[in-house]
Amino acid sequence: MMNPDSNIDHLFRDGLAEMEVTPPVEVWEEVHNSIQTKRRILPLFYRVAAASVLLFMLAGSAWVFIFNQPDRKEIAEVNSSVTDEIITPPTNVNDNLEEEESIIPVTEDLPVKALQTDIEPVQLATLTEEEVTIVENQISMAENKEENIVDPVTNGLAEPEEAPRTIVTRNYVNLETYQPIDLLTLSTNNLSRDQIPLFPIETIPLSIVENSPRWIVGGQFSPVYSFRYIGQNSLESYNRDSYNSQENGMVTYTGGIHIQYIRNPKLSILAGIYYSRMGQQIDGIQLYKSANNEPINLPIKGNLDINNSFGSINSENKQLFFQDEAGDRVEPLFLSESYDPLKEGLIPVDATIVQSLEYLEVPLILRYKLVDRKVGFNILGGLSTNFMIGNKAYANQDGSKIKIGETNGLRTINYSTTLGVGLEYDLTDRVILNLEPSFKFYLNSINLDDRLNTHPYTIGIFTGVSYIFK
Amino acid sequence: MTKALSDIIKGCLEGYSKAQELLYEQFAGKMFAVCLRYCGDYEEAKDVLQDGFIRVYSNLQQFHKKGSFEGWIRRIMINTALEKYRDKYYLNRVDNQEERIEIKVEDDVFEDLSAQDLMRMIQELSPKYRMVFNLYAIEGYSHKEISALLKISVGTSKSNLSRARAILQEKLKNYYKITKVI
Repeated sequence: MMNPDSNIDHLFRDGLAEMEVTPPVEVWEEVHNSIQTKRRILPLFYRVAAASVLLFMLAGSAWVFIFNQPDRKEIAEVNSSVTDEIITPPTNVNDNLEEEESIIPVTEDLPVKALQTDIEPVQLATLTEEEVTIVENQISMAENKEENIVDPVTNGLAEPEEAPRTIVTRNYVNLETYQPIDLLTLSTNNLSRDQIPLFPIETIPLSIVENSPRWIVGGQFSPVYSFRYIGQNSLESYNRDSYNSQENGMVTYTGGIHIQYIRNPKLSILAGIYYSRMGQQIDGIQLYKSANNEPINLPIKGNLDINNSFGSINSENKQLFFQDEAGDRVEPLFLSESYDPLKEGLIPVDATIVQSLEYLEVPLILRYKLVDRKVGFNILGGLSTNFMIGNKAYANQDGSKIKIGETNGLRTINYSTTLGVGLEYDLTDRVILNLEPSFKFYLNSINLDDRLNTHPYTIGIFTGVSYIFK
Repeated sequence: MTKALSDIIKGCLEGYSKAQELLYEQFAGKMFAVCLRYCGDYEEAKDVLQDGFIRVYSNLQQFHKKGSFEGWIRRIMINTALEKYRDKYYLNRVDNQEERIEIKVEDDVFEDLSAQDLMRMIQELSPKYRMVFNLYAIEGYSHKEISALLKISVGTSKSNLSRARAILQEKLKNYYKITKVI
C-alpha cells in the first residue's frame, strides 16, 4: 500500500506537472524593454578594459612627462643652487695654486642662467658621464672667466634665484693655465693635462650619477595567502553565505623576474613576468570512493558538478562520489536524495577539496621612493594582466592529492591591481635587497557566469634581489 | 535539446528580438505556472516571471547545453521566487499566519480545471508551508537542501512539510465533499 503522504505528493506533482498558465502580455513587454536596455549598457568586462586602457594612458603620460625631460634641464636642475660657505681646497689641489685669488672653486652648483651656453643639449646627451662632468666644469669656468668674477668667498658666482643647497664635493681649476675646450670635439684623449679636471674622477658629484638612466633587473618570491571576495550583485545571493562559510583561503606562492627603469630618483616603473598560484579549499562536501578503484556506476549520464564561488568543478574522476553535507552544491541534486553511497558499498574519504589556479602575471607597477637612503622606503601600485595557465581541482587526503578535474566557468584573462610598500637595502652600489608586503586584488570577476561575482585576492610579503645596470 | 530550441537560443545570444520572443512564448506558460505555485498571488507571480526571464536572457551564455534547458529556466524561476520569499519573510515577517483565507487567483487564468484546484490549494497554504511542499513534493529537493535554501533547520523543513500535507489532505476532503454534493 502506498504511503498517503506520497499519494498527496504524487497527486500534486502529476496534476501540476504539465500545467501552463498564459501570463499577461505586459510581462513580455516589460521583459523585452528591460533586455533591450541592458544590451545598451556596456558589459562590465569592457568597462574594466576601458578603465585599464585609461590608466595605462595616464601612466604613459606620466612616464613621458616625468622621464623625458631634456638633459640640459636635468643638469641645470642638479646645478640649480650654490653655497656661500668658504671653501677649503682639497688636499689633491695642484701645488702651484698658492694664491687664493687664483683659485676658482668650480662647483657643480651653478645657477640655471650659468648654463645658457651655445652647447646644444644633444651634444651633452651623447657624452659619457665622465665627459659630462668635465664639460660641466668647463662650462662653469667659461662663465666665470667671461664675467671676471674671482671671489673666493662667493665662489665668483651670482646669487642663485633659488634657495642654496649645500654640496659635498668642490672641484678646483688652475685659472692661470686654464684653456677653454672646444666642446664640440671634446674627448678626454684630446685634453691637455691642465684641461683635465683636478679632482679625482671618483669625486664626480653623486647626484649626477643618480640622475643617470638606470636599469634594474631583479627577481622576487613570496609565499602568499590567497582567497576571494564575493561581490554583492550575484544572482544566487543566498549562496554567498553558504560559500563564505564553507570555503577557505590557502597559502600558495608567487615569484618571477622584472625589469625596472629609473631616471627620476623618486619614481620608477617596473614590468616583468611572474608566475602566481592561487586557490581555495572547499569544506562540507563528503567524498566517497569505490572500494575496488573501479568506476562508480551512477544513474546519470554526465559528471558530477560541485558548485562553488569560483564556478563549477566538473568531476572527471569516475571513482569518486560527492555529497554536500548541508546544501545543494553537488549536482545533479536528486542524487543526494536517491543515491545512498554507503549502501552502494562506497568508502567515505576524509579529504578536503582544493581548487588551484595558475596564472602568468604581467605587471606594470609604479614605485615612488619616500625615503632615499641606504635603507629606502617605497610605495608602489599598478595594474597587471593575468593569463590563466593552469586549472586543477583535487582532493587533499593527508597531503596526497586525488585528482578530481577542473573548474569550469573561469575567465582566462583577468586584470588585477597591486598596492604595497617596500623596504630596499643597498647591499652594494649595484645590488639591492628588497622586502615588499603587497596586496593584489582582481578587478574583474573571474567568473564567466554573471550569477557569480568572485574577485580573488592575495596578500604576500615579497623578498627579492635586484642588480643595477648603470 | 531540439534543433529548433538550439537555434532559438543561438538567436537570443546574437541579440535577435524575434528569437527572444520565441523563447518566451515557448516557456512562459509553464514557467508562469511554476511562479504561481510559489507565489501567494497573481501579481507577485507576474513579478517573479518577469524578473526570472530577464535573468534567463542575461545569463543565457552560461547555459552549457549539458542538461535540460527547461530545467535550467525552471531553476532560475524557483531561485527568483525563493529570493522574493526570503526578502518578504525576513524583512516583513508578515507570513506567520497558519493559513491564508483569501483566494487571489482568478478562475479564468487556468487552462486545466483540476490543475486549477490543485494550484489554488497550494496557494492557500501559508508561504512557509507552500515553499517546503513545492520544493520537496514537486521539485524533489531533500530536506537538507531545503534547509540550506530557506535557511531553516532540517527538522523545521520536515514539520512544515508534514503540516502542509495535513492541510492539503483536509482541503482535498472538503473538495470531494463539495463536488459530491454538486
